[in-house]
Amino acid sequence: MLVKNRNMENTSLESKEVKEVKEVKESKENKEEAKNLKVEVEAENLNFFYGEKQALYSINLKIPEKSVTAFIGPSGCGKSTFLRTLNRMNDIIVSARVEGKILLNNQNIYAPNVDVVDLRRRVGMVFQKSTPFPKSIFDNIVYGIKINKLANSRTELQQMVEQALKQAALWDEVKDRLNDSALALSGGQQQRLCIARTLAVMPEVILMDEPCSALDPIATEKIEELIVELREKYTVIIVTHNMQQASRVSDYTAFFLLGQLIEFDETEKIFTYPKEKKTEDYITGRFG
Amino acid sequence: MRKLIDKFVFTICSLSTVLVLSILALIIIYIFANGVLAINLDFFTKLPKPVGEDGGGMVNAIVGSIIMVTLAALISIPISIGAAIYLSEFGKGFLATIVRFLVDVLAGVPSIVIGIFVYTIVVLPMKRFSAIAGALALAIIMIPTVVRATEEALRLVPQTLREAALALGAPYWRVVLEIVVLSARSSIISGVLLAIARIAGETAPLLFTALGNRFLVTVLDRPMASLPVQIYSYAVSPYDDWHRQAWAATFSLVIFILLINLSVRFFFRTKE
Amino acid sequence: MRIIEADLNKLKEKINLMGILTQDAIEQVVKALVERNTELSENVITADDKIDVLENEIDKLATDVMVLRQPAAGDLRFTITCLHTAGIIERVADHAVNIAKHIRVINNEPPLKPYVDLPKMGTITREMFRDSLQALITGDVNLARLTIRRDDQVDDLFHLIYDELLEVMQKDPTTVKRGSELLFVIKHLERMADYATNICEMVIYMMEGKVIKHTQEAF
Repeated sequence: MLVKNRNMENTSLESKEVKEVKEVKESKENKEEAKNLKVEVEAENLNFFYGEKQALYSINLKIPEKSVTAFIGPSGCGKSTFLRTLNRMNDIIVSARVEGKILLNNQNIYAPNVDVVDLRRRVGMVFQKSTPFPKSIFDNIVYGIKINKLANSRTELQQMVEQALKQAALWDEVKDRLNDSALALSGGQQQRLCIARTLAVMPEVILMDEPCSALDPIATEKIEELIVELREKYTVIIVTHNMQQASRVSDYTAFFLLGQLIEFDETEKIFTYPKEKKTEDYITGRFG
Repeated sequence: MRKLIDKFVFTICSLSTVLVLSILALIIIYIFANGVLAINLDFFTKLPKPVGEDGGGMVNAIVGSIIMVTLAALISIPISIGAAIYLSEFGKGFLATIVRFLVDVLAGVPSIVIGIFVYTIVVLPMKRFSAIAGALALAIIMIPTVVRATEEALRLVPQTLREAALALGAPYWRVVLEIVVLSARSSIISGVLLAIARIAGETAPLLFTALGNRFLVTVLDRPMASLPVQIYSYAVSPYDDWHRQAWAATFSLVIFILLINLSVRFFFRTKE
Repeated sequence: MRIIEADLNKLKEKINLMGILTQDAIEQVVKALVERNTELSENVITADDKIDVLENEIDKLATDVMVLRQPAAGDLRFTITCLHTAGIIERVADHAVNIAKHIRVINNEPPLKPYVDLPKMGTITREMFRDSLQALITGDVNLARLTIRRDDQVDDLFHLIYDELLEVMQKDPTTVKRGSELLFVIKHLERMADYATNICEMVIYMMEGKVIKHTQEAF
């Protein structure tokens, strides 16, 4: 069926040559665009310590806005730690210490005058295990909106909830039971609820720490589709152990090893021709 | 041979279980048998009759118990939950260790010692036994149980839930009060209820503080009757009718505690 | 050992075998032509079936590797190269078969003239193909680049022989039949050399991740 459709499509399109010329042109335009991309998140010589132990070694990285970036690497390589430095979630660990800069829209988030609470609104986060609050579906979304005083009226609040749920592709599944407990949702729905909750406070960057590792393949696919859609409006950074997932959803991939950023490039380059041997060894499973 | 040992161990364990269960069953059956016969409407509505007269009830003790247990709960719950939140969410370092140690010590102090303590610091200066002193003693007994249960419940709330709320731009104090406590609420309520069930049956601390009262009082600075103390004084009396009333009181107290335990069970069941 | 390793080794073996068989085919048709030995060229036609079977096997195996092992980076490039190269080798073998068919006619006619440049062209083509395969199996990028450069020699010889044949045919119209058959033969040889070049380009893609097909930066 699929094959048939494809063939029919082909017959209706322009001749092959015309298409090729067009493609060449487009890819050139893309490349030029890539150069002009605005950098949203930038790490400058970032070191991170848990007490005496150094977990990240002078990370330098520029992540363009409105793109999906995947962090890959073996367990304990520092990818999650690095992700958590981006919204200062590591601050709550007493022994944690950061050196260097993280720039969010050219503003150092570790500068002394930065309001951490507001920073965390701007840089949302979704976790490995879904974390619905023990409240109704509606109140889960409302929580962040109310805390940040984003809605001026009851109607506006309801609109924002609806919009967030729609953006997270959850609205149709829950619109008739908004007052049910969020804990009654399935794992995949809970995870999308958490994404909706994050979207509701209008962040600029969304961090995801292995958002699909506890989900079945179908729920995973839905989240992945969502991530790809989110790229239109947000800068998404996702930590994943699943390399196929990284290759499916991301535009850029960063490979971490032993607290160091080994390689950062367009995903397609990382997965077809990585420059570093360590990257090649990791993604082809030669590691260890 | 191996099978034999297996059977032997299994038999020993089963017998122990049966023994425990039968002791419990005996107590309950004994109390029920005596209590059902002894209880009547007068017991809940009438005041005690003077010595020598049959009949009458324990309305003074029932109301007294309710007042003092409620008051104790009102005093101890905010303090305990506050302390538990401190220990679980903010308490790091030396001070927290000290607090935790003191709570442990307090939990181990015999209730009669607490009664004497309250007697020294409240009853003696006031020169009078009072409901407030009784409630205070009960509150002190309740505190370590509630602190322990609440701290445990708060610790069981996954760290990522706190982080998720923080990531929405919530300040930490709001995260703790609105999300963490909310998530732990059923465990906290269970802990509080079990603590209430425990103090409802306390006798010793009340002997030195609330003493007892033959009349129905609702003012807090007067001596006040309570079920356990009333049971104690009626049980050691030489009068048969008082013995009957002691059985009735015991029966009501056990039913009350049983109901609390069952409702706690129910809480956990519905949660999972 | 990595699970994918066994599959990749199997792919490599099959490509190697296919290459060796095709190399033999080229050698035999060139010999059959030069020595006017029709029997030899008939062998080539029958031996082609084996090469076709191998191509199918490689296609299947490479598809399986892609869907089941999901190769990445070097593994991915190797698998793609095998898939692509199997098709190329099969076409080289087909060209050998075509030459063998022309030889049936040519060897039935009296010789046109002593072959001088034709054996040279045959040898270079055969060597180019051999070297391209060796570059593939050993991942030798230098050999691949050297081989690509030799394609010009074949092209030059093609034009030389072409002009010569035209001249002969113009002078003596009775030679037209033999002559035009020979034209086909040199065209096939020239195509074979092109295919060897394509294999070399795949080797460079496999080793360096660079696509140099249809670009000027072949060297």
